[in-house]
Amino acid sequence: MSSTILLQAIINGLLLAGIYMIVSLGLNLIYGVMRIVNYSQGELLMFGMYFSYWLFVLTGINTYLSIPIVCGILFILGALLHMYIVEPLLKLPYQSQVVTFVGLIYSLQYTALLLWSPNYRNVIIEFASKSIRLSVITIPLGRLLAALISFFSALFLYIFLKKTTLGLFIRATSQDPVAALMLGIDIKKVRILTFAIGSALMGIGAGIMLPLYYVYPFIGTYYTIIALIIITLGGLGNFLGTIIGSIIIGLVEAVFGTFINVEIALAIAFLVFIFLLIVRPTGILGE
Amino acid sequence: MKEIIRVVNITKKFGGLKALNNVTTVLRRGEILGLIGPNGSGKTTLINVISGFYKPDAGKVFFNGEDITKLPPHKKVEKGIVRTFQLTKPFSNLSVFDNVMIGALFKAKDLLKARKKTIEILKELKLEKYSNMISKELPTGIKKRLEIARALAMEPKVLLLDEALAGLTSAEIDEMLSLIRSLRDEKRVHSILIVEHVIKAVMKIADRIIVLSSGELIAEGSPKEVANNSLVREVYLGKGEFV
Amino acid sequence: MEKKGTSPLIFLFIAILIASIIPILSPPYYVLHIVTVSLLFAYLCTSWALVGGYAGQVSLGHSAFVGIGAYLTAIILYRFKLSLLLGVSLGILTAIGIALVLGYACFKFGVRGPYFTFSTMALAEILYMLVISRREITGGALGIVVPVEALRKLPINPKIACYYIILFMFLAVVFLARKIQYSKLGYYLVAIREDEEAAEACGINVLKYKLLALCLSSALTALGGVFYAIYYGYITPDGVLSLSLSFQIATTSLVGGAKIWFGPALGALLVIPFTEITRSLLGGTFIGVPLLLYGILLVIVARVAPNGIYEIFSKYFVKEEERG
Repeated sequence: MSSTILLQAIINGLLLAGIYMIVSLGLNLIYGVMRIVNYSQGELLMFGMYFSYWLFVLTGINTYLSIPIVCGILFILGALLHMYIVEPLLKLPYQSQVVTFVGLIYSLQYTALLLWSPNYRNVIIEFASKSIRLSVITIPLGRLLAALISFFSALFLYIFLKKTTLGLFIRATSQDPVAALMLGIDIKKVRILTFAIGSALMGIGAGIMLPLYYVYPFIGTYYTIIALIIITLGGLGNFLGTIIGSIIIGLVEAVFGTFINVEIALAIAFLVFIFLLIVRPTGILGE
Repeated sequence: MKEIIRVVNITKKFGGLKALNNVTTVLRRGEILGLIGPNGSGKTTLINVISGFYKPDAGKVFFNGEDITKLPPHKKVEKGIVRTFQLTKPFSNLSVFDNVMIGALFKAKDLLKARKKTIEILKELKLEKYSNMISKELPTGIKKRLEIARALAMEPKVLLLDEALAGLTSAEIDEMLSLIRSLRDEKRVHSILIVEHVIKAVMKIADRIIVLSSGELIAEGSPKEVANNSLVREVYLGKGEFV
Repeated sequence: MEKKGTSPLIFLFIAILIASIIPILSPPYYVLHIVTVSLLFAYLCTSWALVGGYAGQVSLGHSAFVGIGAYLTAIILYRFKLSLLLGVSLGILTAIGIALVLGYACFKFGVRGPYFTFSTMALAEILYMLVISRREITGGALGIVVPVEALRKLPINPKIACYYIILFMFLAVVFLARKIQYSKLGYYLVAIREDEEAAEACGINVLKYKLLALCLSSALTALGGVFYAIYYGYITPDGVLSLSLSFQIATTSLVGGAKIWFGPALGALLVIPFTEITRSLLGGTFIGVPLLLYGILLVIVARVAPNGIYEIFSKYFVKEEERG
């Protein structure tokens, strides 16, 4: 009896991992190149979800299909944010970075609040609300689609980073900015591009999450924190580590959440996080 | 001469690399000991071990016969062992005065006494006119003097100087050398270990010299003895510094 | 680090005089409320700065300590019906205990800078989760009532009594901050903030002083939490244990100037009345405006005055004392 529950919990965990993965990959990419934690990652996701919502409401485009459009908007938004706010931060002391990011978070959250009110909004997409039954396991289609899109996006991102010239520039800058500079790479442009891509990835997250979750101006911070835990677990800047970290956290939340309660599951995750910071700050796979 | 610091069989590894391999030597009371060697030979590592910034993988450090190997840096300072840094580490956003104050507060009983001591030391090292300047804006030579001023404010028994002469003009070097010599001669400090790259300078000031190469002690003796040592010349071959 | 002239003290003195007579003038309730909340924030921000500004260990989880003070007081008073003094003592001791554990675990093992910040955020989140899940004791997400008999028995209006309590607490903490800043402890914390290795090389026991700053800050903050519980009479996890509260305390301190004794108070006394007043003027449709403006202010101040707004004032008012 309980092994069925366990199996279901594991499946849920893997599906959940898909969602956490896309947010974490964005955060990880930005950290890898700039050594700065983009505390406003969750707010970019939030904005993506609102864009996706309004596209659906105003034009009827399915959130999955509007992903490219939302990614495009976020790409531009991200590039602008980086050029005017994040890039200058790199030379400022740590305290100023904290203040700036908190300021950015508030600015984004309360702009959303002003524009779209605090009401929870979501979107019902027919097929996403259905479920598949595989003997004793139930798999909601929306979650399955989310996980699949997320995994494939991760794959494409990986291919992009490994096989394209731009990807090479990004990896070079991430490993050694000075050497990259000396090789003639325009690292400032690389940084702008990285932040833009990291933001655009939230467009994918938005498209897959809106059918499953409500959006309101303050959902962002939660995802930023989960993503932070994941990338620390996997090793800051480590791509594969982020994937593995997402799976671990997804499983932990689903399994503990099913057998105990969600709050305790999360409290345990945070405790493990602190433990990791102390014992092996470079994460499971290292920086 | 009695010995004040003795290091015995010190080994320090970083990953697979042995930065120090079984190093044994002494610093005697009242002496100025020069420590030379090519880049990467382990000089700063040895200073870090003696001053507590690194824990050795093997071996011991003795101070006046007492085993101080495992003590953290601040406890080494309590014993009277003070070091300076190769790349100077002033408190960048603080003034010269405040930098020395922080050193002075170590021994001084209260703020007033610390302030007095700071003023004295600034005068002695001719740093008064820089007193209110923010230390990150200072030229290298002055930063090096500040580093020593702060160290002196802690009333050290043993001073470990890590490349105190690097980046100085010859005039500055001569000034610094006579300062160092006077510190020992006037018994302000019992002994001084000076790590140096500027060989000529070390030869002038040191009573004795030890030579490190690839983490091993390869020679020990008076400046003349070391200068004539063929192994030492070989290790420095091509560097042109021994001429 | 040498005393920069006495003009901030003069301002403070005048401000105290004005502050002391406000209740006597029978102001409308919301004026008294805004000043009380501003003083509370000024108190919390100054307490934060002891570890976040002086020692440079930026915590974005100080709401944990506010929550400890508030919830322990609430639980002792409401669930166990014991004395306020017990609640206060338990709150402070628990805060110090947790600060010691987290602080030691982090500082001993080189968890610093952004990593320390993450650990403080995690701490606040852990407490938040614990409070929400232990509904029977804490009231969960709905919160818990804080009945304070002692206040109701006083001959004066409880709100006015609270006002004078927080005014006193604020003054005490600001004078403490000033005393520390110009003492050996102050110098040592600055040294640690500037360069930990160099500080060690100056004979400073960095671990001990960081712990001292963190524990002192946590104890004072917990006391602030106790006041919060008493003043509002009702607390919720979103009110006292939220990430947003932690953010606000830290950033308001830094915006005012966390390296100097009157900086955080300056930040709080400018920002809080501003947000409260805009909130009551606009409200309704423009509900997000005060915090939106605050967010923009943060981004600007971080660029323009990285050491805090007091820098702008100090150019006009403060003179360097002569050395001699």
